[in-house]
Amino acid sequence: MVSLDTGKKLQLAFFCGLLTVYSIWPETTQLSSLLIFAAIVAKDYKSALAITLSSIICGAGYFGIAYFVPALLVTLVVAISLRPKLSSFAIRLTKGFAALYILQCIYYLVVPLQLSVPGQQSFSYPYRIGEALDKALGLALSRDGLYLIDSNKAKAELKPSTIYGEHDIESHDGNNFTVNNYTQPKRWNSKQYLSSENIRLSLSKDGYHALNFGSALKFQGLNVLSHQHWFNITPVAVVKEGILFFGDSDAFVNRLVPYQINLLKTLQYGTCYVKPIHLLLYIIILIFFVIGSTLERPLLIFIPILLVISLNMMDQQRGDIRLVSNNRGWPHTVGMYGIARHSQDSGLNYLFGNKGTRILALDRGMKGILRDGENVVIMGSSSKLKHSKGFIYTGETPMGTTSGIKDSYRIFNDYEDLVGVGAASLVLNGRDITIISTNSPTKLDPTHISLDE
Amino acid sequence: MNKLGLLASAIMAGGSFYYFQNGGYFQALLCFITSAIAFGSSNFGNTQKLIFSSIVLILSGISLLRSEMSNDFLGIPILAGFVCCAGMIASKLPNGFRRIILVLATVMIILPTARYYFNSSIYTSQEPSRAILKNGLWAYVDSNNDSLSIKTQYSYSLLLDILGADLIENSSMEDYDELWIITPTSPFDAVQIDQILKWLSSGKKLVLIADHTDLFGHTSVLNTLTNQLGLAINKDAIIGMQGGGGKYIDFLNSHNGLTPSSISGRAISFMHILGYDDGIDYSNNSFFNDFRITGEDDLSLYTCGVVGSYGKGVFTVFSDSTLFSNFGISRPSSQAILKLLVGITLPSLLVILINMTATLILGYAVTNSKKYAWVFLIALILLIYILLLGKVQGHLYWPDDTIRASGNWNIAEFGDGYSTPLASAYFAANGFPKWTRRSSGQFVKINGRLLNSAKASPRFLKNDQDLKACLESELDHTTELALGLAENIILEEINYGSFWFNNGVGPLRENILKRFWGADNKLSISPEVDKFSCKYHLKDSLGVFEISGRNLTGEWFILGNGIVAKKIENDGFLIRKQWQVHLIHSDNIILRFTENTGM
Repeated sequence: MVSLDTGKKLQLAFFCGLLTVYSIWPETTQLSSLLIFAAIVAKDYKSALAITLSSIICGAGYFGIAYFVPALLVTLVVAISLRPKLSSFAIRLTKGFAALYILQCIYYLVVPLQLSVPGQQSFSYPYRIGEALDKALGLALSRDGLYLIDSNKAKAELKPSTIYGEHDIESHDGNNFTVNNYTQPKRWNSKQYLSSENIRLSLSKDGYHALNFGSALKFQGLNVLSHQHWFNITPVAVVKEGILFFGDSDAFVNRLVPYQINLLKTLQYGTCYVKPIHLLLYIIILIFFVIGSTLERPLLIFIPILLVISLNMMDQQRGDIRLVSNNRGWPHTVGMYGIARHSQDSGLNYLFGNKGTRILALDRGMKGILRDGENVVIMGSSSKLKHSKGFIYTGETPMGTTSGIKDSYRIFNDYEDLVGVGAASLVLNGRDITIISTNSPTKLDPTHISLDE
Repeated sequence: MNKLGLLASAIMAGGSFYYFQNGGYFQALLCFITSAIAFGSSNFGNTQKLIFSSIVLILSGISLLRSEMSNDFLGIPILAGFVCCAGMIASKLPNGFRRIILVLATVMIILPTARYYFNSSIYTSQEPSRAILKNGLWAYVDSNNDSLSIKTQYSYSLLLDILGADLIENSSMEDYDELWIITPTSPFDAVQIDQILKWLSSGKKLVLIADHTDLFGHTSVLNTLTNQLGLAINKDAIIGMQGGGGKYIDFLNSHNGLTPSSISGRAISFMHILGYDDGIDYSNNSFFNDFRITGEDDLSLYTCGVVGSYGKGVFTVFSDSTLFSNFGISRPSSQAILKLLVGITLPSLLVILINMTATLILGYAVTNSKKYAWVFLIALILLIYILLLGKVQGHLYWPDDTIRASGNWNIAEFGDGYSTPLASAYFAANGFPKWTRRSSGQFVKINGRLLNSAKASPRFLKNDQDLKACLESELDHTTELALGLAENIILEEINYGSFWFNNGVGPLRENILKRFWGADNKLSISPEVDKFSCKYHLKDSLGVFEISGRNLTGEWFILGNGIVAKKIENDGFLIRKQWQVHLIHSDNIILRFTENTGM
């Protein structure tokens, strides 16, 4: 075995492993802790310092510190590290900052925020908060939260634990939680966030924070989540005096919960992954920062990568719809990604998931395998479904509205026999399966996706 | 570390991504290999730091690109990552092997240029005999009858005249040098495809015009032919950076375009559009999607015009047909693109030039050999020669009553009050605007006269007492209020099409268009006021109301506060949104008479 000092091949293998993880699970690029670790493995302390400090900027934003303060700190420390005489000091500084950062990550993980649901709501189902949120988190949240519209109740000294703002509500006298309506300057999946590592990780996993129009929170507190557009920072979630404020409720209402499951889980549990493994990852990285350079068994440096792989491999979400799609950017789409929103709009509390699902949604051109329990399969054009005895294909030529299915396509079996247009009932894997072929599943009549509970 | 080599590597990596995005997988692979070799050859020593800084670079790239662009641009930093890894491996390859790869890559890059150089169709006559193939029901060439109906305006009769082309059936193409096929909707059979390909390979020129969203199945039809040429027209619609129509970019210029489809495959692109793929929704009218820039729309530099060679012949594909219709051909951008299409089929100068330059730098960087550099330089000279050939324009037959137009193209195409009157020039001015010069000034000049957009706007009505008397009353009210209709009026299903012209734009607007071109006003309104009893549907009931109307001309009436309506026999009034001089808040509606008026 080659020692770490001369173990260039080992380092090369480590970087290749890291690149592979990033390629397979791009959201893990938000794991700054892993990158700091990688820099220290490469003995590139200047890069490690720069990454650590830039990560701390996000953390500083969490505490509501003005943006330029940590930026100034970064510049200062990097300047110090460039002085050759101070290099050993810079290395110690790096390790110290890195350790502090990991401790901060552990704190967020161990002491998560607690959500609650507004007890009284005047909104109709898809815009309510509660049903889908409970289902996504797998528990019944306490009903002691508030909508901001009910702030008069808050004035009556009712102590809520969570307050959800709403961008439709104008600021008015007597509103204790002054908000200011603003428009998102970017597409949802192009936004930049200032937040803890875990929340950024979960938002990357969801793809975005669902918010077209929002209400900026004006008061000071712990900035749980801020939107960043160049140097403009807009706090949208703040903790103050033990109360969790959200500037806008969009991400929590039933119709959008299926698209924000990872964020919601992180807010409630501190992570959207398996918590013990996530905690173990931070602890091991922390240990390596302290003793890593004196290790006798350099192969141990791969443990953090293995833990990240485990995090993703064990990542399971119980839900109703299993989506196979490369297109996950816009929940209001008419396409396959909009199917969960459509079900919520129809009063069906369905979530996306990969465990215990009952509907399989194959986007156009995608392939999927039928699992036990999945009795309805919605297939886009040119998609392919594998079952125990072969395949089901859909055609490419649009067939208009057929069998009550808009934007329908033909359905074929292994022998290229036409088994239906738009819809077909088939016996697959020994049970009755309903196949629907359309590229506009959000225009389906809800009866097509309604399942017996 | 050889910085020149790194630059070459970056350019080739970009080329690889471009080709991959546009379906040119072989070229993408080639660019990738050369990029990796350049990267590997340019870096010796400091391996770990190099890789680590590459990772940081990749992550910075992801962060930067994510903030401004679509997720799909993640492909660039990921590609960079793979180039880093492959480059490490490539750096261990023997020099001889690397040089062989380099020479092969160069040959592959030069080959398309050489094929054009020796292609006979480049030297065809300056006045080729042209034909437009009659195929299907969408693209038709009914002649202009001076009316503003869809049938006339969405025709290609002007294009037919300007090309000096004949309209032919499939079997009679042998006598022609150049064949145009515009959005065909009747499927080609194997015999027809074979016939076209044989004709093309004998040294002819084929121009294929497609459009967005596989409308009426034309893309499916065209692809049966283009697949034989190694191309695919994608079933999509590309919208511009701000939504709506995009800008078509060629080597030197940009042109205002509409919503083309993208093209991919083994050909050289000469026209691009930077925009978003809005996708396709077959359950919508015209198969357009939501026309909004959303997270599901991929941002890229899409190809909308390509050229390629087949046998001795040359083909061109352009994926926007609307520009060449009777109402689009008067646009300056349409005419500029038409000149490109009929000129010497220009290879993708931009792509080839970048490839050549990159290869030149690459060759020198990797080999440090002047010998190789000379080979690349010769290739570059060959390219420039082709470039010069590309300046030759094909002949066009402009109409006799052409009027010379110049000025600001953007104003002419998008300026408030300009685009529709200019598009209707043939109808309103009895002349066809031929654009000669492009100017950055804020004016449009035709036949030496500055056009005043104010005359094409409702403000012009202030000088018309008859119309003014009719229209000035109650203009503050919305149309629905004037009609006494509730917001939940049920709209009639009306089949309408063009976005610039409908089935007649109404006498008021026709009158305004003529005034734009300096024609006299002969329109007046009857002083007699009639009362009409109409009915309308609410959600759960039937409402009845009375509305006043004055006869304008023939079956045309002005209702209430100035709504242009056409009497449908004796059954009711048809009100189209497009006929109105003022903004109308509702969509197209039909008001039924409570009883047959017998008028």
